[in-house]
Amino acid sequence: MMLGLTGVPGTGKTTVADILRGRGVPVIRVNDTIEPYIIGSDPDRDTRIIDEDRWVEEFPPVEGVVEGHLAHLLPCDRIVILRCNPEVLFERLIRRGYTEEKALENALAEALDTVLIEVFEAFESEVIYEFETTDTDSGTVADFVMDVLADRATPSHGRCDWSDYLLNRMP
Amino acid sequence: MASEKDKWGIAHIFASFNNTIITVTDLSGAETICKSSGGMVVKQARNESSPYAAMQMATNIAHAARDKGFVGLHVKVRAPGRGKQRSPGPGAQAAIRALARAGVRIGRIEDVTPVSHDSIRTKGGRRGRRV
Ligand SMILES: Nc1ncnc2c1ncn2[C@@H]1O[C@H](COP(=O)(O)OP(=O)(O)O)[C@@H](O)[C@H]1O
Ligand SMILES: [Mg+2]
Repeated sequence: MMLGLTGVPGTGKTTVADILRGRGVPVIRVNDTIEPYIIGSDPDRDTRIIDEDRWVEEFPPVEGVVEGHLAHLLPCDRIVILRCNPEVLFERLIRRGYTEEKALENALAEALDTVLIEVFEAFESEVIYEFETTDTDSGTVADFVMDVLADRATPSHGRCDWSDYLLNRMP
Repeated sequence: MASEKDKWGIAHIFASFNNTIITVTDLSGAETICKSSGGMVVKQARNESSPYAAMQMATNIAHAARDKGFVGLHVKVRAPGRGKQRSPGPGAQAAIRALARAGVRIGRIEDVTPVSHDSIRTKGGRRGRRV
């Protein structure tokens, strides 16, 4: 089974993936596979642009976890999408050294459910497992991913609602 | 001077999975004139992101903005849904139509949907696209 571990940057995917790898789960990082597909850069956002169509087309299917904020573009069998309160996500990204502008755009992307909506548009509800990490340590999140791999978890999505962030923090 | 009579603002439309939120600000974006959220116009949470809620909100917003002397609104849309069949947040288009129907002049409509990115992003980043 190929399990996609996705979510806006800062939701804790890489931390969880490291724990899973430590537990013997095969993990592929999206960021380790994209080098041949870089087609440009976006200096305003301090990021590189990839040709996601070609990347998806040439991606060899794996047994295990594919981790990254674009993992859900791949034909995964199950999707775990990590969520985090946008205020907390912003702080995590600032601590990681992102500029305020970059952290804010990701926080707003999280508040608007961008990754969830992309997941929802591409996958059936039965394979979508949304999990909030705001006040949950990464070991517990890793336990959840292992439950999903072992078919011991119940799919669900749509329970994170960051409307308050949009109402109070946006113009 | 026409400036007082022809006051323009910005309508910000946020369409998430669960909700639609519309706010109106002055042209600088600093002063908020009025706000509405799906929860203010429908009873059931699952309807907060519906086109019906968006239309109701837009109608209320249009009246509130006109009461404060605004004749026209530029629109900034932040709506991640691609408008596919299963797309949530279908409220954005409905809201723009309802604003116009309520007698507000609609100026520039801009898609400023944020793009999630770490060291990479997809080529389809849509920010700043005119719609
Ligand atoms: N569950 C969590 N609780 C608190 N902080 C976390 C949690 N998961 C990750 N972090 C912190 O947030 C930052 C981003 O985590 P990371 O795993 O790199 O996220 P991603 O890979 O999704 O961008 C790191 O500084 C990490 O220490
Ligand atoms: Mg990461």
